[in-house]
Amino acid sequence: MKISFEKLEKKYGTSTALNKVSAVLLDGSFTVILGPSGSGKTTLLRLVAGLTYPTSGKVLFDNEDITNKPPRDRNVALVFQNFPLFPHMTVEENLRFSLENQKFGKVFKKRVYSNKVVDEKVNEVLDMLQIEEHKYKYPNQMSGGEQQRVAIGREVIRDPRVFLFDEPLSNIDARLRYEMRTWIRKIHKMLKKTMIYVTHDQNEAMTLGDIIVLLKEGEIEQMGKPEELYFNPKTKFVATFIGNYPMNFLPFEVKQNEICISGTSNVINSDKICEKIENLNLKKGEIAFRAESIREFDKDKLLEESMLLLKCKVTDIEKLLELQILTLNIEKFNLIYVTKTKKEFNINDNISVIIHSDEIYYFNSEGVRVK
Amino acid sequence: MNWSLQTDVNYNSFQINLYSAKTNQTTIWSFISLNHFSANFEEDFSIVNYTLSSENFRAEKIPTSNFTVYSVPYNAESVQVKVTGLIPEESYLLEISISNITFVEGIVPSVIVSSSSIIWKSSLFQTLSSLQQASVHSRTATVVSLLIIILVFLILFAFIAKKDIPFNKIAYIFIFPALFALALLEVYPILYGFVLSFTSYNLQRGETPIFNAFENYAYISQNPHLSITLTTTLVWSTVIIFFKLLSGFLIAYFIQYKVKRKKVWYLSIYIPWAIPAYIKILSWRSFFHGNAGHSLFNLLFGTSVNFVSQPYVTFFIASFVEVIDSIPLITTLFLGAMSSIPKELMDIAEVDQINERSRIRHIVLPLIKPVMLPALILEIIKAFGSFNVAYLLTRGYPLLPYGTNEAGVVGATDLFSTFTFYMFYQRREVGISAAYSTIMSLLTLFFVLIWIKMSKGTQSTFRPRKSKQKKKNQLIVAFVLFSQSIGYFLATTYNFRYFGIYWNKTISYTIAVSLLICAILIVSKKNRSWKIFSIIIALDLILSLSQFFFYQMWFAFNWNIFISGVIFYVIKNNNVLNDTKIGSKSISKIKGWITKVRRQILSSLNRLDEKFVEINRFHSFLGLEIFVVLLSCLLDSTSDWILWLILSILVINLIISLFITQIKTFSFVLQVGLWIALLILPYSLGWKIIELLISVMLILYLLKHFITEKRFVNRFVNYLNRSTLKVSFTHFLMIGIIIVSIIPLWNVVWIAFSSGNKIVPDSFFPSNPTFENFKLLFTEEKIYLNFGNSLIISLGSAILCVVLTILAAYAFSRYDFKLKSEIMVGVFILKMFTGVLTLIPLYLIMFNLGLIDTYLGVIIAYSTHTIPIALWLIKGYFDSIPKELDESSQLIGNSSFFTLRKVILPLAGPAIAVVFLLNFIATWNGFLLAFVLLQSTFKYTLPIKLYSFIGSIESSTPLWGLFAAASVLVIIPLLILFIFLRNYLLKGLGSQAQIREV
Repeated sequence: MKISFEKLEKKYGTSTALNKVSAVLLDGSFTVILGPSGSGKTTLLRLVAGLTYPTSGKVLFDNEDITNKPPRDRNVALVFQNFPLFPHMTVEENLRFSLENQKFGKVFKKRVYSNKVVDEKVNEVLDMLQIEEHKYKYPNQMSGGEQQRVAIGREVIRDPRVFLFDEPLSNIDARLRYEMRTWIRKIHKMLKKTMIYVTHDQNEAMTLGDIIVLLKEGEIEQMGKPEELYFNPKTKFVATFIGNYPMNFLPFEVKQNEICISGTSNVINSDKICEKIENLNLKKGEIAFRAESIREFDKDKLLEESMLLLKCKVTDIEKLLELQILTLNIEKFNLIYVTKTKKEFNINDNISVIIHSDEIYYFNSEGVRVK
Repeated sequence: MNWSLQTDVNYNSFQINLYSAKTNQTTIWSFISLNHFSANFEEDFSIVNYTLSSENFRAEKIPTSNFTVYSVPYNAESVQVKVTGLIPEESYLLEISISNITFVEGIVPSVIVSSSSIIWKSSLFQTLSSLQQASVHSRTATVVSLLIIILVFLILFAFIAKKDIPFNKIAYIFIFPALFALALLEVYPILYGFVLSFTSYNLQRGETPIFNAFENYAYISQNPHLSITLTTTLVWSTVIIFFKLLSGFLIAYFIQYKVKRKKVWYLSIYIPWAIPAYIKILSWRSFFHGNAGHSLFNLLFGTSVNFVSQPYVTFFIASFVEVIDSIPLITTLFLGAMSSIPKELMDIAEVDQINERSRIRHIVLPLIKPVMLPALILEIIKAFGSFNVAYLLTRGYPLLPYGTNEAGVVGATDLFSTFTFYMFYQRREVGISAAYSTIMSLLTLFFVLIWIKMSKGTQSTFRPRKSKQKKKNQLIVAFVLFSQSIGYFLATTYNFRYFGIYWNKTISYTIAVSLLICAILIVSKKNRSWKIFSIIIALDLILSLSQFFFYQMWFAFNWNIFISGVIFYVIKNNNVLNDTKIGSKSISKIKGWITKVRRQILSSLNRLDEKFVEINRFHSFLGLEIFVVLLSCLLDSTSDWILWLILSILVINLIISLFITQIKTFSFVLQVGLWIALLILPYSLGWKIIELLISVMLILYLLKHFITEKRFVNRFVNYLNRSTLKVSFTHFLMIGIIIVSIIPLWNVVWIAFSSGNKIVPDSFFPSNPTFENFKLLFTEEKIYLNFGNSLIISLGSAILCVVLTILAAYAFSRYDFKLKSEIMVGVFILKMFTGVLTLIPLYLIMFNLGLIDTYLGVIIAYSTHTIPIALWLIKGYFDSIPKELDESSQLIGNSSFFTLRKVILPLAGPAIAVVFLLNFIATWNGFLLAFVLLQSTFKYTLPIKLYSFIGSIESSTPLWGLFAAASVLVIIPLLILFIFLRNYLLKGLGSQAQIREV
C-alpha cells in the first residue's frame, strides 16, 4: 500500500500542528517519523489512522482518497505507546474480539468469521508471536513487553492494510527494548506490509527505519535513508538531532584576510578549509563536525594543511566503559570529544585537537547546509 | 353495651351520672333533653352531637342555674356524648338513666328532676394521664435516654481513645464533635424509633408510650396497606432504577463520545439541578395536573390526565418526573465512570473496526461495571426511600378502593415513605408508623450490607476474578425453588394473593408441585431438570405477569415476577445450562430438526437481506415520525380518520424505502403533504409541533444526503453543507431532554407574570404581563420574612456543618487512629438512614427538648445532613495538601490546632467553600424536616411557604399565581449562584461518584 500526503494541514485553534506536509511512502516500506515532542508526528499518525481529521489537504492510500473516511472504513492497525489491551479480557479474548465483531448484512447481520476460523487464526498468531503460554492470562498478569506483543498480535490478526506504531517501545524497560526492536523488524519482514513508526528516539529510528522522516514544528525537515540523514544532514537541526552525540558547531567570521571563530582570537589555520569557505562565498556561518571525528593532535607529527587545529581546555570528563567523553572549551564555545584512548585527562588540561577537512560540514547563518 | 328501654315509661330526657371512686360521690354530669323543636346547627364538633337523617348536628346547650342541659330533637337517630371534666389518672363509673325534667322559668331557668331510673351502668374505668402530664413524662424519658446515650458514647469513645498510642490522642478530640453530633442526631433517633415501634403511642390521644411488644407489627400485617405500599415501592424502585440507568447511561455516553463541546452540553443538562426539587416537582404538577385536570399538558396533547382518578397514568407520570429530576446526578455518575476508561481503548476499538453496539456491550459496560455497581446500590437505597415526588406531586393519589379501611387509606402512588409519613402526620400514630419505619430500615439495611460487601471488593480498575463455585449456587437455586413451592401451596390454600397465581387454584397447585419436583431433581443432580425447570419458571413468569396486567393495578401483583428474575440471574451466572449435555436420542433428534429449521430461516433472511438498501438515519427518522403520529392517533381525543390515513401512507413509505433508494425523493414531497395536513387538521398543538420538528430534521438530513450524492448543487445547499450543521439523532435527543426539563419552568414563569390565578398558557408570553403576584407576595404574604428565615437557618446549618467537618476531616486525613476506616464507613452508612426513616423519632426528640418550632432545632437537624459528603470532600482536599507542610509546622513547635488554623485552612479554601455551599443549598431547599419541625406561619422557610400556597393535590384553592411568583424569586438567585460557581459545584458533585472508594 502506497501512502501519500498532499499538503496536509492541521490546526488546533490558532496553533499549527502540521503545516502543509507532503510525502509519499512506498508500498511495503518501514517509515520512521522522527521528531522532538510537539513536532506533530503523532498528529500525522492519527491523521493516517483517521482518529483526527485534517484542516486541509489529503491522505491517499494507493491513489484512493480516504481523507474523510472514518477509521473503521480504512482497515489500518494502530499500536499505542501504553499498549491498551482490554483489561477485562484474556489474551485469547483480546485477539478474538475484533474478528468476532466483524459482521455483514444490512438488517439481519451475520458474522464474517465462524468460531472455527477465529480459533485457527488466533492459534496461528499466538504461534507466530510466540505468546502461546499467555493465552489464558489477563493483561495485568503480563510484563510490558508481553503486553505490547499481544497488542501487536491483535492488529496482525485482522490483516490490516497499514501498520501504525505510536512510540510503542517508550513504556518498555530498556533491556527489553532492544529485543522488541529486532522482533518488530522480524514482523515487518514476515508481513511485508507498509508500516509507519513514530518515535522521538533517534537510535530507534536509525536501527529500524528504511526511511526516516524528520519533523520539526509541523514541517518535514529532511526525509531519507538513515545514513543519508547521518552523513548528509540538510540543516543544523538535522545535524544536531541525528547521531549519538550532537554535532559540534563553531561560528566563524571572515575578517580581511583571515577567517576566525567569532568572538574569539582563534583563527582557522587550515588553508583547505579557508579555500572552501571562500569558494562557498560565505561571509558568516558555522563549521560543524561530529564528536567522533575529532582526534588528538600528536605533537610529533606535522600538521597537514587539510587539518583544522584547535587549542582547547578540558572542562569535564565523563567515562563510559572504554569510552571517554570530554567537554572541551574554546573560550565561550564547548565541544564534545569522544575518544577510546587509555590516556588519562585531567580537568583544566590544555589539549590540541585536529579535525580533517573532509569531515567538516558548512552551514550558512540561517542554519542551512551548503556544499 | 346492649340495653333496651321499657316502652311504657314516660321520660323526656337522659341523665348522665358520674361516680368518682376517689371522692366516693356521684354527681350529675348533665341532662340531654328531647325536644320537639330545635334549631339545626350544622356543625359537628361539640361535646354533644346527634344525627338526623344521617347528617351530623350540634346539640344546643341550654343555660340553666343548676345543671347542664343539652337539647336534642326527639326524632334524632343517635346521640354522641363526649364526657368532659374528668381528672386525669383516676377511676370513674358512668351511669345513664332516663328521667323527666321540667324547666322553671326565671332570669336563668333552673331544672327540676321529677323521676329517674338507671338503665345502664359502666364498670369502673381509669382515666389516662393528661396531655401535659404525658409530655412531662416523655420529656423526662427523652432526657434520661439522651443522657444514657451520651454516657455510653463517652465511655466507648474514651475506651477506644485510651487504647490508642499517645500521638493519636489529639485526633480523638478533633473527631469528637462530629461523631457526637452524629450519635445524637442519627444514631439515637434510629434506636429511639426502633424502641417506639414496640409501643402503643398516639400523639392525638395524649398517651405515654406503653410497651405492647409486637402488637404494632401484628396490626400492620392484618391490614392490606403494608403489602400494597411495599409492592408499589418495589415496582416503583424497579421502574425508576431501570429508566434512570438507561437515560443516565445514554446521555453520559452521548456527552462523552458523540458530541463536540462536551462542557456546554453537560452544563445545559446540569442546569436543572440548580432549581430546588420542590419547585420542579410542583411545576410538573401544574404542567400535568393543573387544577383538577385543567392543565397545559392536556391542552397540548388532547389528553385528559388527572392525578386523582387514573392510577396507571399517575404512576407512570410520577416515575417520569422522578427520572427526569435525577438525570443531572445520574449522568454525572456515569460520566465519572466513563472518563476513567482510557481514551486509547476507544481509539483502538474504532481502528479495529468494532461497531458501536459491541463497543458498548463489550468494552464500555464491563469497564464501568466495577465503578457503577456500588453506586447502583446507593441508587436503589435512594429510590426505596424516595419521598418528594410521591408526596408533592401526587400525595399518594389516586386512592385505591381495596386499600381503604379504618386503619388508613392508601393510594396507587403511595410509597412506603409517604405512607409512613401519612400514618405519622395525619393519623398521629407514632407507634405504628415507627413500626413501618423499622421495617423499611431493615430493608435498607439489607441493601447497605450488599453495598458494604461490594464496595470492599471494588477496585477502580478491572482485576481478574477466580472462577465461582458452582455447586453452592445449585443448592441455593434448589432452596429458593423449594421455598417458592411451599409459598405457593400456602398462598393458594389461604388465599394470600401476593405469592400465588390468582387466576385459578388448580394452575397454582400444579406449578407448586412441579417446582417441588424440580427442586428435588436438582438436589439429586439430574442435569436435565434444568431445562424443565426453566420452562416452568418461564410459565410462572408469564402467568404472573398476565394477571398483573389483567386485574386491577397492584392488587394482582405477584412477587414471583421478582423471584423468577432472581433465579434466572443465578442460572445465567452459573452457566449450568451451557454445561449440560442431553443424552437422550429423541431430544437430540428434535434438536437437530430445530437447527435445520433455524438454518433455513437464517438463509431465507439472508436472501431477504440482500434486497434491502443500506439502512441509515433516514429510516430511523421516518420510523420516529411514524411512532409520533401513531401516538397522537391513539392518545389525542380530537384526532380523526385523516390522521390514520397519513399514518398508513407513512408506513407504506417506510416499507418501500427499505427496498428502493429512489423513494427518498418522494419522501420529500410527502413531508410537504404532512406539513399541509398539520396546518389544516384541527388537532392538538403539541403533537403538531413535535411532528413538525421531526419533519424538519428529516428534510435537513435528506438535503444533506442529496449534496453528498451531488444530485443537484446550488449555493444555498452548499452553504448548508459548509456550516457545521450536523443532523444527528444524538443532538435531537439531547435537545429534546433539555426542552422537556425546561417546559414546566417556562409554565411557572408564565403563570408568575400573568394576572389572576390562570395556569394554562394561551400564548408564548403572557398577554397582559403584570407584577400583581409579586406585589401580593410582598404586601400580603410578607415573603421577605420567609427569605429571612431561610437565610438564618441555612447559614446556621452550613456554618455548624463546616466547623464539625473541618475538625473531623483533619483527623481523618492526618492521623491513623484506631477504627478509622470503620468510623468512616459508619458515617456513610448513617447517611442512608435519613429522611422519613428517622423523621418520627427526631420529631419527638425535638418536641421533648422544646426545640420544635424554633430555628435552632431546624439548624441542628439539617447540619448533620451533609456531613458524610462534606467529610469526604474536605478529607480529599486535605490529603492533596502535602503532609510535610504541617509536619514542619509541628516541628517548629506549633500545636495541631494552631497548624490546622494557620497552615491548612488557608490552603483549603475552595473545598470549604464547596462544602459550605452544598449544605447551604441543601438546607435552603430542604422540605421534609422543616415542614415537620416548623409550625408557626411566620417561621416557615421558603419551601414550606411555597408549598402552603398550593397545598396538596386535594386542596380546592391552590394559589398557583403566588407560588409561581415566589418560585421565580427563589430560582433566580440560585441560578446566578450556580452559573458563577458551576466549576466548584460540579467538581464537588462529581466526587460523589468516588465515595465508593471508602
